[in-house]
Amino acid sequence: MVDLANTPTLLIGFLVLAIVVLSGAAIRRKDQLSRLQDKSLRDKELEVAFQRKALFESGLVSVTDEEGRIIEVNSKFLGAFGYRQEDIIGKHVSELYPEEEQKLSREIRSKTRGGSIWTGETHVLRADGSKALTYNTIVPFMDGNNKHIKNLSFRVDISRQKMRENQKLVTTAFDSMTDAVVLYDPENYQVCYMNTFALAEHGWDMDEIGEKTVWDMIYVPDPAIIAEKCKKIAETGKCSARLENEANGKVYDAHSYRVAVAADTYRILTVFREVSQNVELERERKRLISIITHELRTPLTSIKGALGLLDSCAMGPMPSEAKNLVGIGLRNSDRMLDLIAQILESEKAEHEVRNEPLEPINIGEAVRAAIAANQGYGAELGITFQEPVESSDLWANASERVLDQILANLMSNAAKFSPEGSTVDVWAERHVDHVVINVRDHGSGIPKDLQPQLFSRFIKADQEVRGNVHGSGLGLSIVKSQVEHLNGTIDFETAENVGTCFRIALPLLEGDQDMVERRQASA
Amino acid sequence: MPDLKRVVHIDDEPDIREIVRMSLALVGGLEVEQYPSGEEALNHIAEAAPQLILLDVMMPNMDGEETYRRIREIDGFADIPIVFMTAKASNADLQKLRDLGAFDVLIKPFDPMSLAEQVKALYREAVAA
Repeated sequence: MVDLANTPTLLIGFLVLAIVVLSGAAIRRKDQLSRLQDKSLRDKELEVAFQRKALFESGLVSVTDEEGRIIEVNSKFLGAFGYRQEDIIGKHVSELYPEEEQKLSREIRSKTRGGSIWTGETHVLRADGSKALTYNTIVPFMDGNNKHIKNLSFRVDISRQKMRENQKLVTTAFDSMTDAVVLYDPENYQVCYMNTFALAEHGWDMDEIGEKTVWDMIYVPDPAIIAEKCKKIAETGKCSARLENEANGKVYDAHSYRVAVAADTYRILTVFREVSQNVELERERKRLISIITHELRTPLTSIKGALGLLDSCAMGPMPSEAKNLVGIGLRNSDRMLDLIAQILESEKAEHEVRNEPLEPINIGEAVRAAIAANQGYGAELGITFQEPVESSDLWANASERVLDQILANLMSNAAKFSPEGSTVDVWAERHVDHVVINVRDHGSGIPKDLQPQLFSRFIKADQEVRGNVHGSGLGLSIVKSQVEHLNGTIDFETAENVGTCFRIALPLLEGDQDMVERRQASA
Repeated sequence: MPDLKRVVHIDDEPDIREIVRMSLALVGGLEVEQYPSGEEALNHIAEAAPQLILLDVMMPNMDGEETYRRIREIDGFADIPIVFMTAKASNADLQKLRDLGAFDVLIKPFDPMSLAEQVKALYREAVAA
């Protein structure tokens, strides 16, 4: 029987017991839960550690703080770029980027500070100063308040892959050429590479070229020539030559360049272009010009001779009108003869120019020398040559003789077309990577209809001459070919009754400072 | 010193032969024997007994250079001054003719009024040498 009087007590006791039991269960459950949570956390940590290990083992990893300072790198990073741990930690990440990628470095930091991931190609400066190309993924870490804390950069070195791609591109480009490209060792003249065109010309396979030397090639007529040219390439880095192979009757233009393969080792890359047909055409052209000029001179000898005899009245007296007509015939015979002489002069000038070697020339000095040399000629026409601004010491590859001829031609033209008592300005100035020589007159300007064909031959043969100055007009066509021989360009600016300025632009020589200094020393 | 009287002129161009004849004979008062080719000249030049020979360079069949060599082989013609007349006036062309042994080279076109005087002066020079 249950004592009802004790019921409350029992209820309380029961409740206490229930609470105790339940509490115990809850505690046990909590412990169980806590253990589960701990396990999950441990698992998560293990997983993160696993992922981190995988990340650190597979790529070149660096971590930077919110300021961009490097706080951690993996061993692969150190090995790939040649740094020691103590050298790299604390450095600012921008120090890893080359000069030309500093802007990119700032852009990357700005983007990742905003929480965005950045991927792309960047270079890394190795400890020895060389550059490695990497594919870079930069992941920003943000805290709970979305504040940027650090960046993790995961790089893969793609230098070799890129180099292979570039090599493939170069090889493809060489193989698509219709000139022969050959790479060889200047020590033993052994061929290292030939493009498809060169291989086909010799009937060789790529596997065979290891056994071949440059002497085995059809382009080389005489071993002594190649030895001599190799010496020149060693000194100057490049060399051009025309090779005539009597055995096969072919003519090649060979352009060779020194290609560095290591600090003290190089190979020679030569491009051989067959020009036999051009040479034959050139010979034919010369022969034709010689025939034309001779064939023109012969009938002119008769015309001029007959008119000369009439004009001298050796055959008896002549009415004055008849004498006038004979005079017209004589003057025009002289004009034709002058034209023939100019054709020959043009041929001679072109031939001379082609054979004129180029060397470093101080263009400022050349300008001042030309002003001094032509001042006398200017004085005869009442013209003063002057240098309005001092031409600074600018160097270009040129020939003193050809440059003198160019300047004399342009200056005499300028003087002829200038009003008496005026000046002609001649000066040189730097324009980006060119030296520009200016010859400016204050004459009447060049008429519009003459401008498009100003550098053509014989422009004046069928045009009215300007002012009272006669000429065949060959001068400027010769000047143009002379300027082209110096690897330059020529153009002009002209305005009616203001004047004309001719400008010659020659590639500025500043890269090869040694040569310039040698030249200065020898001067 | 004997004066120049007899000149042989060899040229395939009839008009030039006419101008030269007038220049030398009418203006200069010289006796001129003319031939239109090297072959023709070789057949008759011995009879003409010239004191100086004017010889064109570019002629069909036998050119001036070959004619020069053949004339030199004729008895008594080894030392007669031979002057080439040419319209090919490049330095290389002129040097080639001088190397062959030509006494001088006159360039076409020439001045018809002074040709005779030029030829006489060359003859005097040749005799003096």
